[in-house]
Amino acid sequence: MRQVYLDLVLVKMWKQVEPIPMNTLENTVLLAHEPDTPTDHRLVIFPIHQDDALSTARISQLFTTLRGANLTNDGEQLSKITFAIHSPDSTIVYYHVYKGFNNKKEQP
Amino acid sequence: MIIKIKLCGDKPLVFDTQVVKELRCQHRIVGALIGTLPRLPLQNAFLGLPLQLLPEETTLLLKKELATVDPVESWTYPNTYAEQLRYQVFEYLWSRQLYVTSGLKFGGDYLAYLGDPMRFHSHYIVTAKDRHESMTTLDIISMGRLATNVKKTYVIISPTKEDHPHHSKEENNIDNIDSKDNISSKMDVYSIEWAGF
Repeated sequence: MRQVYLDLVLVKMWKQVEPIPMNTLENTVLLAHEPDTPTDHRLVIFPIHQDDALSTARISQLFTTLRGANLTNDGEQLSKITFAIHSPDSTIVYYHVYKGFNNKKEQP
Repeated sequence: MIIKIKLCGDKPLVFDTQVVKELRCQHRIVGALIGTLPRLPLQNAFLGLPLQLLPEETTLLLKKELATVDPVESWTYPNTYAEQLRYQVFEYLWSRQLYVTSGLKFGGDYLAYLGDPMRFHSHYIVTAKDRHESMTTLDIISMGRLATNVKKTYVIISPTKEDHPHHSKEENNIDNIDSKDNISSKMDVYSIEWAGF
Protein backbone atom coordinates (compact mmCIF):
# COMPACT_ATOMS: atom_id res chain seq x y z
CA MET A 1 0.00 0.00 0.00
CA ARG A 2 2.81 2.38 0.89
CA GLN A 3 4.36 1.93 -2.54
CA VAL A 4 1.05 2.71 -4.25
CA TYR A 5 0.46 5.72 -2.01
CA LEU A 6 3.89 7.14 -2.80
CA ASP A 7 3.38 6.50 -6.50
CA LEU A 8 0.14 8.45 -6.52
CA VAL A 9 1.31 11.31 -4.30
CA LEU A 10 4.95 11.77 -5.34
CA VAL A 11 5.13 10.43 -8.88
CA LYS A 12 1.68 11.24 -10.21
CA MET A 13 1.34 14.18 -7.82
CA TRP A 14 -2.26 13.59 -6.92
CA LYS A 15 -3.45 15.93 -4.20
CA GLN A 16 -6.22 13.92 -2.56
CA VAL A 17 -5.22 10.43 -1.54
CA GLU A 18 -6.69 9.05 1.66
CA PRO A 19 -5.69 5.65 3.11
CA ILE A 20 -8.60 3.70 4.57
CA PRO A 21 -7.72 0.58 6.57
CA MET A 22 -9.98 -2.38 5.84
CA ASN A 23 -9.50 -5.01 8.55
CA THR A 24 -11.84 -7.49 6.91
CA LEU A 25 -9.76 -7.39 3.74
CA GLU A 26 -6.44 -7.35 5.61
CA ASN A 27 -5.49 -4.46 3.40
CA THR A 28 -5.66 -0.70 3.17
CA VAL A 29 -7.51 0.86 0.28
CA LEU A 30 -6.91 4.37 -1.02
CA LEU A 31 -9.73 6.76 -1.69
CA ALA A 32 -8.34 9.18 -4.23
CA HIS A 33 -9.36 11.93 -6.56
CA GLU A 34 -7.92 11.62 -10.04
CA PRO A 35 -6.90 15.06 -11.41
CA ASP A 36 -9.01 16.48 -14.22
CA THR A 37 -12.08 14.51 -13.17
CA PRO A 38 -15.19 15.90 -11.46
CA THR A 39 -14.40 17.03 -7.94
CA ASP A 40 -16.96 14.71 -6.36
CA HIS A 41 -15.61 11.62 -8.13
CA ARG A 42 -13.36 9.26 -6.25
CA LEU A 43 -11.41 6.16 -7.14
CA VAL A 44 -11.35 3.29 -4.67
CA ILE A 45 -7.86 1.93 -5.21
CA PHE A 46 -7.11 -1.57 -4.01
CA PRO A 47 -3.38 -2.43 -3.87
CA ILE A 48 -2.65 -5.97 -4.96
CA HIS A 49 0.58 -7.78 -5.61
CA GLN A 50 1.37 -9.20 -9.03
CA ASP A 51 1.46 -12.73 -7.62
CA ASP A 52 -1.87 -12.55 -5.77
CA ALA A 53 -4.62 -14.75 -7.11
CA LEU A 54 -8.04 -13.48 -8.01
CA SER A 55 -11.34 -14.99 -9.02
CA THR A 56 -14.78 -13.71 -9.82
CA ALA A 57 -15.88 -14.75 -6.36
CA ARG A 58 -13.02 -12.76 -4.82
CA ILE A 59 -13.88 -9.67 -6.86
CA SER A 60 -17.51 -10.05 -5.82
CA GLN A 61 -16.42 -10.23 -2.20
CA LEU A 62 -14.36 -7.07 -2.62
CA PHE A 63 -17.31 -5.15 -4.00
CA THR A 64 -19.54 -6.36 -1.19
CA THR A 65 -17.02 -5.44 1.52
CA LEU A 66 -16.17 -2.05 0.09
CA ARG A 67 -19.81 -1.19 -0.43
CA GLY A 68 -20.45 -2.25 3.15
CA ALA A 69 -17.83 0.30 4.20
CA ASN A 70 -19.86 2.96 2.36
CA LEU A 71 -17.13 3.69 -0.14
CA THR A 72 -18.43 5.18 -3.37
CA ASN A 73 -17.15 6.59 -6.64
CA ASP A 74 -19.64 9.43 -6.99
CA GLY A 75 -21.96 9.30 -4.02
CA GLU A 76 -23.96 6.43 -5.45
CA GLN A 77 -23.35 2.71 -4.97
CA LEU A 78 -19.76 1.67 -5.66
CA SER A 79 -19.52 0.60 -9.28
CA LYS A 80 -15.77 0.59 -9.91
CA ILE A 81 -12.69 -0.66 -8.09
CA THR A 82 -9.25 0.30 -9.30
CA PHE A 83 -6.65 -2.39 -8.85
CA ALA A 84 -3.15 -1.07 -8.26
CA ILE A 85 -1.05 -4.04 -9.34
CA HIS A 86 2.50 -3.80 -8.08
CA SER A 87 5.39 -6.01 -9.06
CA PRO A 88 8.72 -6.78 -7.37
CA ASP A 89 10.57 -4.28 -9.52
CA SER A 90 8.30 -1.51 -8.12
CA THR A 91 6.29 -1.12 -11.32
CA ILE A 92 2.66 -0.26 -10.57
CA VAL A 93 -0.14 -0.47 -13.11
CA TYR A 94 -3.74 0.53 -12.58
CA TYR A 95 -6.79 -1.24 -13.96
CA HIS A 96 -10.45 -0.46 -13.37
CA VAL A 97 -12.85 -3.31 -12.68
CA TYR A 98 -16.47 -2.28 -13.12
CA LYS A 99 -19.43 -4.18 -11.78
CA GLY A 100 -21.62 -4.89 -14.76
CA PHE A 101 -21.11 -3.83 -18.35
CA ASN A 102 -19.11 -0.66 -18.73
CA ASN A 103 -20.97 1.14 -21.52
CA LYS A 104 -18.92 2.96 -24.04
CA LYS A 105 -20.05 5.29 -26.78
CA GLU A 106 -21.28 3.32 -29.80
CA GLN A 107 -18.93 3.31 -32.75
CA PRO A 108 -20.66 2.90 -36.12
CA MET B 1 -42.24 -21.41 -39.18
CA ILE B 2 -39.77 -23.80 -37.58
CA ILE B 3 -36.22 -23.30 -38.83
CA LYS B 4 -34.48 -26.39 -40.15
CA ILE B 5 -30.83 -26.85 -39.26
CA LYS B 6 -28.85 -29.51 -41.04
CA LEU B 7 -26.05 -31.30 -39.22
CA CYS B 8 -23.00 -32.01 -41.34
CA GLY B 9 -20.93 -34.14 -39.02
CA ASP B 10 -21.08 -32.02 -35.90
CA LYS B 11 -21.50 -28.71 -37.72
CA PRO B 12 -24.96 -27.13 -37.67
CA LEU B 13 -25.60 -25.57 -41.08
CA VAL B 14 -28.34 -23.47 -42.66
CA PHE B 15 -28.69 -23.51 -46.43
CA ASP B 16 -31.67 -21.18 -46.95
CA THR B 17 -31.10 -17.43 -47.47
CA GLN B 18 -34.51 -16.54 -46.08
CA VAL B 19 -33.76 -18.52 -42.95
CA VAL B 20 -30.38 -16.77 -42.61
CA LYS B 21 -32.17 -13.45 -42.85
CA GLU B 22 -34.80 -14.50 -40.32
CA LEU B 23 -32.20 -15.75 -37.89
CA ARG B 24 -30.28 -12.51 -38.02
CA CYS B 25 -33.09 -9.98 -38.17
CA GLN B 26 -35.67 -11.60 -35.93
CA HIS B 27 -33.62 -13.70 -33.55
CA ARG B 28 -30.21 -11.98 -33.41
CA ILE B 29 -28.48 -15.19 -34.44
CA VAL B 30 -25.53 -14.23 -36.63
CA GLY B 31 -23.61 -17.44 -37.40
CA ALA B 32 -20.83 -17.41 -39.95
CA LEU B 33 -21.01 -17.88 -43.71
CA ILE B 34 -18.55 -20.59 -44.75
CA GLY B 35 -19.37 -21.37 -48.38
CA THR B 36 -17.17 -20.48 -51.33
CA LEU B 37 -18.78 -18.12 -53.83
CA PRO B 38 -18.87 -19.82 -57.25
CA ARG B 39 -17.84 -16.64 -59.07
CA LEU B 40 -15.19 -15.63 -56.55
CA PRO B 41 -13.56 -18.90 -55.58
CA LEU B 42 -9.96 -17.84 -54.95
CA GLN B 43 -10.58 -15.72 -51.89
CA ASN B 44 -12.19 -16.01 -48.50
CA ALA B 45 -12.99 -12.41 -47.66
CA PHE B 46 -16.49 -12.84 -49.04
CA LEU B 47 -18.26 -16.10 -48.41
CA GLY B 48 -21.73 -17.45 -49.04
CA LEU B 49 -24.05 -20.23 -47.93
CA PRO B 50 -24.17 -22.32 -45.90
CA LEU B 51 -24.35 -20.44 -42.60
CA GLN B 52 -22.60 -22.31 -39.82
CA LEU B 53 -24.05 -21.79 -36.38
CA LEU B 54 -22.19 -21.86 -33.11
CA PRO B 55 -23.12 -24.83 -30.89
CA GLU B 56 -24.53 -22.29 -28.46
CA GLU B 57 -26.69 -20.68 -31.13
CA THR B 58 -28.06 -24.07 -32.15
CA THR B 59 -28.88 -25.11 -28.61
CA LEU B 60 -30.54 -21.75 -27.94
CA LEU B 61 -32.75 -22.09 -31.02
CA LEU B 62 -33.74 -25.60 -29.97
CA LYS B 63 -34.44 -24.48 -26.43
CA LYS B 64 -36.65 -21.65 -27.66
CA GLU B 65 -38.40 -24.11 -30.00
CA LEU B 66 -37.51 -21.95 -32.97
CA ALA B 67 -35.63 -24.64 -34.87
CA THR B 68 -35.12 -28.35 -35.34
CA VAL B 69 -31.92 -30.20 -36.09
CA ASP B 70 -31.64 -33.00 -38.60
CA PRO B 71 -30.76 -35.63 -37.45
CA VAL B 72 -32.15 -34.61 -34.04
CA GLU B 73 -30.64 -37.48 -32.05
CA SER B 74 -27.12 -36.39 -33.03
CA TRP B 75 -27.24 -33.03 -31.24
CA THR B 76 -26.14 -33.20 -27.61
CA TYR B 77 -24.46 -29.88 -26.84
CA PRO B 78 -23.59 -28.88 -24.10
CA ASN B 79 -21.89 -32.00 -22.75
CA THR B 80 -19.06 -30.94 -20.44
CA TYR B 81 -19.01 -28.54 -17.52
CA ALA B 82 -17.03 -26.01 -19.57
CA GLU B 83 -19.57 -26.17 -22.37
CA GLN B 84 -22.44 -25.71 -19.94
CA LEU B 85 -20.69 -22.69 -18.46
CA ARG B 86 -20.12 -21.15 -21.88
CA TYR B 87 -23.69 -21.82 -22.92
CA GLN B 88 -25.07 -20.16 -19.80
CA VAL B 89 -23.02 -17.05 -20.52
CA PHE B 90 -24.04 -17.06 -24.18
CA GLU B 91 -27.71 -17.35 -23.30
CA TYR B 92 -27.35 -14.57 -20.76
CA LEU B 93 -25.77 -12.24 -23.32
CA TRP B 94 -28.45 -13.07 -25.87
CA SER B 95 -31.20 -12.44 -23.32
CA ARG B 96 -29.71 -8.97 -22.81
CA GLN B 97 -30.59 -8.16 -26.45
CA LEU B 98 -26.97 -8.35 -27.58
CA TYR B 99 -25.67 -9.86 -30.80
CA VAL B 100 -23.12 -12.53 -29.92
CA THR B 101 -20.44 -14.05 -32.15
CA SER B 102 -17.26 -16.06 -31.66
CA GLY B 103 -14.54 -14.22 -29.76
CA LEU B 104 -11.66 -16.22 -31.18
CA LYS B 105 -10.10 -13.28 -33.04
CA PHE B 106 -9.72 -11.30 -29.84
CA GLY B 107 -8.84 -14.04 -27.39
CA GLY B 108 -12.21 -14.32 -25.72
CA ASP B 109 -15.11 -16.73 -25.79
CA TYR B 110 -17.51 -14.29 -27.43
CA LEU B 111 -17.79 -10.86 -28.96
CA ALA B 112 -20.91 -8.97 -27.97
CA TYR B 113 -22.43 -6.16 -30.00
CA LEU B 114 -25.07 -3.65 -29.03
CA GLY B 115 -26.34 -3.71 -32.60
CA ASP B 116 -26.03 -5.73 -35.80
CA PRO B 117 -22.36 -6.62 -36.41
CA MET B 118 -22.65 -5.31 -39.96
CA ARG B 119 -23.30 -1.85 -38.59
CA PHE B 120 -21.26 -1.76 -35.41
CA HIS B 121 -17.87 -2.78 -34.14
CA SER B 122 -18.13 -5.08 -31.17
CA HIS B 123 -18.22 -3.46 -27.78
CA TYR B 124 -17.30 -6.35 -25.56
CA ILE B 125 -14.87 -9.25 -25.53
CA VAL B 126 -16.49 -11.77 -23.21
CA THR B 127 -14.95 -14.66 -21.33
CA ALA B 128 -16.97 -17.18 -19.34
CA LYS B 129 -15.32 -18.19 -16.07
CA ASP B 130 -16.28 -20.27 -13.12
CA ARG B 131 -16.67 -18.13 -10.01
CA HIS B 132 -13.80 -19.87 -8.29
CA GLU B 133 -11.51 -20.21 -11.29
CA SER B 134 -8.22 -18.63 -10.35
CA MET B 135 -6.89 -15.67 -12.30
CA THR B 136 -3.64 -13.87 -11.84
CA THR B 137 -3.29 -10.12 -11.92
CA LEU B 138 -1.31 -10.63 -15.11
CA ASP B 139 -4.52 -12.03 -16.60
CA ILE B 140 -6.28 -8.81 -15.61
CA ILE B 141 -3.51 -6.79 -17.23
CA SER B 142 -3.63 -8.89 -20.40
CA MET B 143 -7.37 -8.51 -20.71
CA GLY B 144 -7.31 -4.82 -20.03
CA ARG B 145 -4.49 -4.05 -22.40
CA LEU B 146 -5.87 -6.17 -25.20
CA ALA B 147 -9.30 -4.59 -25.00
CA THR B 148 -7.95 -1.05 -24.73
CA ASN B 149 -5.75 -1.49 -27.78
CA VAL B 150 -8.68 -2.67 -29.91
CA LYS B 151 -11.12 -0.14 -28.49
CA LYS B 152 -13.32 -2.65 -26.73
CA THR B 153 -14.12 -3.64 -23.17
CA TYR B 154 -13.12 -6.98 -21.74
CA VAL B 155 -15.91 -8.59 -19.74
CA ILE B 156 -15.73 -11.57 -17.42
CA ILE B 157 -19.01 -13.32 -16.68
CA SER B 158 -19.55 -16.04 -14.08
CA PRO B 159 -22.78 -17.73 -13.06
CA THR B 160 -23.61 -17.05 -9.44
CA LYS B 161 -23.93 -19.95 -7.03
CA GLU B 162 -27.66 -20.12 -7.73
CA ASP B 163 -27.05 -20.35 -11.44
CA HIS B 164 -24.04 -22.64 -11.29
CA PRO B 165 -24.03 -25.26 -14.09
CA HIS B 166 -24.19 -27.98 -11.45
CA HIS B 167 -27.33 -26.51 -9.93
CA SER B 168 -30.78 -26.52 -11.48
CA LYS B 169 -31.35 -23.50 -13.66
CA GLU B 170 -34.29 -21.12 -14.06
CA GLU B 171 -34.99 -18.80 -16.91
CA ASN B 172 -32.99 -15.60 -16.69
CA ASN B 173 -34.86 -12.34 -16.58
CA ILE B 174 -34.10 -9.77 -19.24
CA ASP B 175 -32.50 -6.66 -17.75
CA ASN B 176 -31.32 -3.45 -19.29
CA ILE B 177 -27.61 -3.01 -19.67
CA ASP B 178 -26.63 -0.60 -16.93
CA SER B 179 -23.18 -0.05 -15.54
CA LYS B 180 -24.73 1.08 -12.30
CA ASP B 181 -25.22 -2.56 -11.25
CA ASN B 182 -28.74 -3.07 -12.52
CA ILE B 183 -27.90 -6.58 -13.76
CA SER B 184 -29.39 -10.01 -13.43
CA SER B 185 -28.70 -11.49 -10.04
CA LYS B 186 -27.87 -14.78 -11.72
CA MET B 187 -24.62 -13.66 -13.29
CA ASP B 188 -21.59 -11.84 -11.97
CA VAL B 189 -20.45 -9.46 -14.67
CA TYR B 190 -17.22 -7.47 -14.47
CA SER B 191 -15.68 -5.15 -17.05
CA ILE B 192 -11.95 -4.56 -17.14
CA GLU B 193 -10.37 -1.39 -18.42
CA TRP B 194 -6.90 0.05 -18.30
CA ALA B 195 -7.04 3.09 -16.04
CA GLY B 196 -4.93 5.20 -18.35
CA PHE B 197 -2.68 6.65 -15.67
